[in-house]
Amino acid sequence: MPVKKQVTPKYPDQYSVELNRLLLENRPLRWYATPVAGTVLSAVVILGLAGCNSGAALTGDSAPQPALGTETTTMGGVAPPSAPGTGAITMGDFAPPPIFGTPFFEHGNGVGTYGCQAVAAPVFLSEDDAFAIIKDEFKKSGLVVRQNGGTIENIQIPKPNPYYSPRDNDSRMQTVKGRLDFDFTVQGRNIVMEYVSTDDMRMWESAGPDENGIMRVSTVSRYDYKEAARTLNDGLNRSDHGNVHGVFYDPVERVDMMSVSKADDWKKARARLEKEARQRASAELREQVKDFIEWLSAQGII
Amino acid sequence: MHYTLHLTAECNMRCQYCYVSQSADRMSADTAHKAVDLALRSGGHRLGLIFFGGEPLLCRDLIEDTVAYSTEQAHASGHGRFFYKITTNGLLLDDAFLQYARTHDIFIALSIDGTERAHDAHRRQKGGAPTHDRVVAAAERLLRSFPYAPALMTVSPDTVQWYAESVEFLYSLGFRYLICSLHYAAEWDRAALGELKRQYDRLASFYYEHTVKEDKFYLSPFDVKISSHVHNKTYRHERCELGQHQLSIAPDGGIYPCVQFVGDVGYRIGDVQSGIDEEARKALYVRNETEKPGCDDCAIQKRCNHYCACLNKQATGSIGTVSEVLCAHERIVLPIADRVAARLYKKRSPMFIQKHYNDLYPLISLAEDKAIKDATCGSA
Repeated sequence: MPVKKQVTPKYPDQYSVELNRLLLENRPLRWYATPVAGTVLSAVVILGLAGCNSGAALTGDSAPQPALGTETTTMGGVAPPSAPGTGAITMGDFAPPPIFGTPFFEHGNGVGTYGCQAVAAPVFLSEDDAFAIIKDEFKKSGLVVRQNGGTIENIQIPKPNPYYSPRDNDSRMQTVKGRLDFDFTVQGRNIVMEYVSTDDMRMWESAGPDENGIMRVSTVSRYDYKEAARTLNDGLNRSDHGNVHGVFYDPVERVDMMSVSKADDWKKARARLEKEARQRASAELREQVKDFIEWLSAQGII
Repeated sequence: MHYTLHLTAECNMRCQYCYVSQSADRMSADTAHKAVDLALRSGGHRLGLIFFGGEPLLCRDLIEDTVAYSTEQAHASGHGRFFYKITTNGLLLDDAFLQYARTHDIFIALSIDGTERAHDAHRRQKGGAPTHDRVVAAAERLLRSFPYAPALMTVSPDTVQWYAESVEFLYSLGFRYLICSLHYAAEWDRAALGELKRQYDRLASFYYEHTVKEDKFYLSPFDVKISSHVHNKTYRHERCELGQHQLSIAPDGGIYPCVQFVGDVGYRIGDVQSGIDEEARKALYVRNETEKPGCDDCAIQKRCNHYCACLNKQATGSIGTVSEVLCAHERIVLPIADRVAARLYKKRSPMFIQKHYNDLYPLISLAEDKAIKDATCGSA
């Protein structure tokens, strides 16, 4: 008989946890104390950062594995310590230096391009849409979310450029020191949240000349909500604002009008595709929020 | 890719839950060589040979011959080397073979069911004589040479009351890799399943305490389930994917997708002479990946062991039918594993964090194992 509902595990998966901090701060004492410490610690020091990248893998070519057979049918999952996984470590996989604080939860591409006749505008979720989803998810944990989470000054705010440029392939976003009004807070807890919406992007955007004095103008605008949110989260992690924060972003699902044939009723098709895109975006935002809640739970904050 | 060579169906023990026919069939050196050639032809960057039985140490000459041949052929063809493993009941595991295994880097796993009463309940010699004392002696020899050799333990309804005690016994003996499996084909009534839950609760305390103490160990029922959550995006590739990572070679050279299928011609997917029937292999894989009836909307579907075709065949006779015992087991063990993992994560247990969240842990652990092994062998 199928299990109808699984209780969400109260420990994070590898993809939603702030690995750098965990890995760097939690090493068994034995690794320092035993005669093999030199070997082990060398491995940690030389390769440790690679482990922060969940995509990093191991070479198992020098390692035997437990014999397989009927008795091993429950094996799998975590490789026993003598049974490394597959793949190879590449020195280029080193992760950037650790940033302590709230992880950034990615669900949804978060890039919207729109502006001229050739571009079908994507679906955006407003702050009210986001509030409904966030409120709903926290309610499942018995918590109440309110709007207006207070203000923080002198924080690193993203400075998105709305005009498309090939330079945007460089995903680093410019920042400026500024003020942030958190969108939401959890009642009775020092948890604040910011949802990066179109309103935010327009408020933060830098449409003036770039650092070389060149003014770029285009009929097509491109907003990278995800990168803006990531940049904001990094800034908040570097500040000491006294609260636990979470940053979400508009997943910006596109409406695929290319799938509409000439024979279709265009308006009906557009409405249907928009509805589907909105559902996808809502589901992705919901996943961001769920990850945050899971992380809060794993940290013992809620 | 691993190739399990079923060297013989013969065995010097008569374990009551054994599924092997225990006929006198033995693999010839020519068949073993052809299996090696097939492995080299098929390629892959991690080629492994697993010596399996019956009791593979009844064919020690064949093991040594196959290791020599495969080493030579791998070197000649530029494949580097094979990795070798053997699963034994321990009765023939002497110092000479251990020395040979050390020299040739053969990984040895020992089948042992735990305490005397748990082990001797099923694992007896042909005439019915108990084997526990002899296997424990073999275990001590094995662990002196290979401190991190795994113990393979089977739990039956009539021994489940000693499950936790047996794990603790094996741990005290020195085993740190404990691979535990139920005898799924047995009759598990409600009382036995209730006892199983009590035993897992006790084992959860064991798991918690040793992890907090920063002991390095692997207890399969919990570590597999925790991994199924922590590595949920890649867990699919850690679980059974029938015929994709391992193939079994029967004594007559027939190729089968896994160990439980050897000799069942309906599952034969080629032979060492003509090679693997890729279409048949793929068809079996697809068939096994097709969701089982009743499992489609199960909330723990992705964390469940119901994809193991061997277990399904053993328990129900069909790879497409999941046994109720397996289903009950998953329901019992999963929440217990999740609870103990949550406690350890909340405590920020370094061993837990490293074991489950550090991709490099196996490599670091391997370095530690190797250093300990070298130190052990060097001082022996």
